[in-house]
Amino acid sequence: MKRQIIVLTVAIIMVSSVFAGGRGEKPTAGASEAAASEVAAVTTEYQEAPMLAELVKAGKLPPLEQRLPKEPFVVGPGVLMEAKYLDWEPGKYSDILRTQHSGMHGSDFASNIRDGNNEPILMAPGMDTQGIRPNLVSEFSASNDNKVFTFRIREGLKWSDGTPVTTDDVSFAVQDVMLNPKLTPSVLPKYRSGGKSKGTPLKLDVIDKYSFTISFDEQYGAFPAELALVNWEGYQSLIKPKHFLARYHATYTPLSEMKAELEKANLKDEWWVLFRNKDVTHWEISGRKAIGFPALTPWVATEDSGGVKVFTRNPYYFRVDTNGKQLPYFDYVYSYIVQDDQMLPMRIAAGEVDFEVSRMEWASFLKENAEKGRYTIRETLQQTSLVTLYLNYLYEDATWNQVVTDVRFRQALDAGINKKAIADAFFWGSGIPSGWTYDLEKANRLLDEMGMNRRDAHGHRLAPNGKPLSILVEAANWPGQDEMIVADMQKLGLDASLKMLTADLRGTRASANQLMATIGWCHAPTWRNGTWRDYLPPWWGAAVGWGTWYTSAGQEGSEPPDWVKELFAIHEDIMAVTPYSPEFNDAFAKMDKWQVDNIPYIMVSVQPLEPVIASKRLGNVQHSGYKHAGKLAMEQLFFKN
Amino acid sequence: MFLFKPRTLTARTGTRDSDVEAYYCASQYQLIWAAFKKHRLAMFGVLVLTLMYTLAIFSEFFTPYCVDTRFPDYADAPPTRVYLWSRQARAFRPFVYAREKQRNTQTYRYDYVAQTDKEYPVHFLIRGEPYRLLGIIPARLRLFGSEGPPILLFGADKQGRDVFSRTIVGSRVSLFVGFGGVFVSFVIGCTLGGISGYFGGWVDEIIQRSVDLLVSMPRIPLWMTLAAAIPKNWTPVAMYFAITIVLAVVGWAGLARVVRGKLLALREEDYVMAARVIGCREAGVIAKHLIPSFTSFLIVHLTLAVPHMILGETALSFLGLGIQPPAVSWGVLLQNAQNLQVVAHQPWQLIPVCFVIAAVLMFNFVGDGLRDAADPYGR
Repeated sequence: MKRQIIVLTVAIIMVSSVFAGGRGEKPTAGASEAAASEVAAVTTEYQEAPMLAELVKAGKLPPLEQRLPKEPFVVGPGVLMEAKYLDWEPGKYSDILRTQHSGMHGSDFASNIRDGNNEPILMAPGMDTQGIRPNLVSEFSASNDNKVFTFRIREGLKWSDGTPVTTDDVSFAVQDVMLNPKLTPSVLPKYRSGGKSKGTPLKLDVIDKYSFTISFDEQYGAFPAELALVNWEGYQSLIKPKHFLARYHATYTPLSEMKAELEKANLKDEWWVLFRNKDVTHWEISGRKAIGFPALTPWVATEDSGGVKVFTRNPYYFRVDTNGKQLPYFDYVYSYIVQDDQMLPMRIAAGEVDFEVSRMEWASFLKENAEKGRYTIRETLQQTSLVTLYLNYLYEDATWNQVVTDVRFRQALDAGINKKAIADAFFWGSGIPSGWTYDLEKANRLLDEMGMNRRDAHGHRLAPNGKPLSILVEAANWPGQDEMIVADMQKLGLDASLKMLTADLRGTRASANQLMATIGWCHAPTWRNGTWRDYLPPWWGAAVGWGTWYTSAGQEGSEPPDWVKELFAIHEDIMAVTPYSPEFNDAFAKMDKWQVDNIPYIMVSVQPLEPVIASKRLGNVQHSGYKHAGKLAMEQLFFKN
Repeated sequence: MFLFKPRTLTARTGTRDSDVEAYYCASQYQLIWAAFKKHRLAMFGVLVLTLMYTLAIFSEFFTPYCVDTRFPDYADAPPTRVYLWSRQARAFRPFVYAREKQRNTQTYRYDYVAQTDKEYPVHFLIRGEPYRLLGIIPARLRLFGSEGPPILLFGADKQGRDVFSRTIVGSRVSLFVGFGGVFVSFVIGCTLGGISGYFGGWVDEIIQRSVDLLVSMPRIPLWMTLAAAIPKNWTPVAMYFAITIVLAVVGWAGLARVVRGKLLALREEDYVMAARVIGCREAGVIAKHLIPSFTSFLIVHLTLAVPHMILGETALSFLGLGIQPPAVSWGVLLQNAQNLQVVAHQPWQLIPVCFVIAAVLMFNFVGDGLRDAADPYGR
């Protein structure tokens, strides 16, 4: 009898603990869709990595229950990435994930770590804005008119140095930084009513220690998408560690106390410059200045020397997996800087990289060495129109202006550039825009029709006004593709030439409106997903004045023609509505038509394939889909053995 | 080059006395030429160089396509196999097959599979793409070509351009930039070295210290610095001349020093004093008497300096600092090939290296032969 009672009691306890454990996230009213990606944890018995358990035992770190928020975010199948692209499994704690970065974006920028460490306030699975749900916050709701957004920070969420996150940090970020004219000369359109450059800036209302609302005057349905994904922006604009940054802010610290730091930075009393030097924005989280800066990201910067950046796990990270293991699985992430692009595939082939996104033009070499290097290659999609030819409408040359503003010129280039040859040569045949055909005859006919039928002694076409026209294309990336584009332009009879520049020089010339034509990229295939709004000028330097005109609400820059003003109107329609709503689809249908009618720039390689390289031991790597989604979800990678 | 028509010294008949007499009466150049002819490697070098320079001067005639003709269907294609015995015609009629580009999804490479159903004969002296012979005369005659599929003797590059055509046309720049550079450095070197050696004193000091400075700097970084200062928007021709000057600026130092040394030794000779006594000006003494006495050495130096210039231009263009595309030189071709994909999978795009090696080697053979032959009285 006694034995049976004991057995029954134990059974009841076990059963009730299963049902009492991890309730998962409550669906929130007004969110765009029921968060179908929510999962429940199997247990409330949270576990931590062995290296942290040791620190706890040594008394250097508080125990896990005090480090995790009351309701951690649970990661499971379909949460960080759609189930159709990834067969998710719970992982094991692993030691070091090795990746690499080239100097393409600057030597202090490690693209894989920056993306893997990205942590937004709201999130949606994959690289998309469907099914937006709370991430750093535990509750989120939007009013029916999309003007008021309510958030509740996860209770118990802490910075990487153990300080609790409260609405003080939000208030500091908004009132003291974003709305402080010395630190932010002009509030970005992203944080204005309706997402419009003319809209009034957001209004923050702190309700209590954890809850706050952000309100706008006009409906701003795209605001959750802006917080979740757009521009890969994380929490850093709206939540800043007040306890760390206040001492560099004049409102909280008198200048006299800042003197030592100001002198070290060669400043007199420009405390805002010092503040910006110390503050780490979402774009700088992989840089050297992030070392020692409190963060909410899965890893924190600890070292940067000897050509390798070392990131260590954040002991206060707020996510767990379905087994209750605190994420990330990897203790360390190393990113090696590689000076020469050619070294990138060589290091992969030598087996020195565990995770990396490479280029299709090296795919044959990488495939050959896959056995030796012990890695797998998966074909994923690039999320941009990776090679796009931009023509500068504001370049100061009347002849050029007359030619480039004629839509037939752009149509001719679109038909006359052999996109298939470029796709075959560099992207394994992928990336050809759908519905396009190479039509040399049509291109020549269009150029003749618009008045460029006369040629000079060298056989180059003259502009409609009879003057010779030399087109200089200046670009900084993809020299092979650029050469082929310019050669195709020459084949059409245009006097085109190519000049390759460094990325910095190109950027400088672009800002100064000195480029005639350039080659860059835009996120056209994934605008709907909510990746970037780069359908708006400045278009890589091809319309800087128009971009400035819009963001300064008409105060500066050059006023654009009507066909571009139409684009701004479509943009504001998109910003007003919730992603993937019927109005959203209408607005994007208008956008598609506008692109086809106007061909503002020529998209040459759209959504090409990219190989994702992953060590054979690596688990939770996507098998298809957008490669960027995989980069954003690095915290769920682990070594299987 | 030779001021006198060399009399043949290999008289088949004739007494020993007449041979000996011929030998003692022969001019300096005749002696050099006779000794040079015996040097087999050097003669071989002359032969190969003549061939290379002929190909360079008439490059468009010898190549089937222009440098920027693209065949997108043959991008990165391996060299075309030319078959000599035609089964269909049962004769020695060279032909090629068309090749189809197939994607190999296992290796991510394109395989070029020959279509053996149809033979495309190789024609000689055909009317091909138009060009300008020697840059002036419009012409269309090309040595060989094929109708239908392109005949790519050295394969194609990533954009489908014929590597053979680009190599031969590019040899024009590579082989002649050497001469320009050598000529300029020769003039500067002789002048400054001559002045320095002849006058001595503080003139000598200044010139020699500048030579020291130039010689102590590592050559390639110095070239790179100077080349990087050339504005990139100059036309290819202007850049070509600028590169020539850059190469020459560094090259004169070695020659100046040696010329100075020779002059220091020779200016005490009796014939120099005699010339001065007659009333020759200083410049005339240097130019008409001193320098010709070691012309043979200068010729050798020139011959050996040209490959340095060729290598210099190749190195600069290879690094992206010399000739810029769309102009073609061996260095530019190698720059396009400097990635591991090419080394691993398209090695035919590195064939210009063989041309560089051949040119430099042949010049060295000739220089060797000349050096051995140049001092016939010293035997």
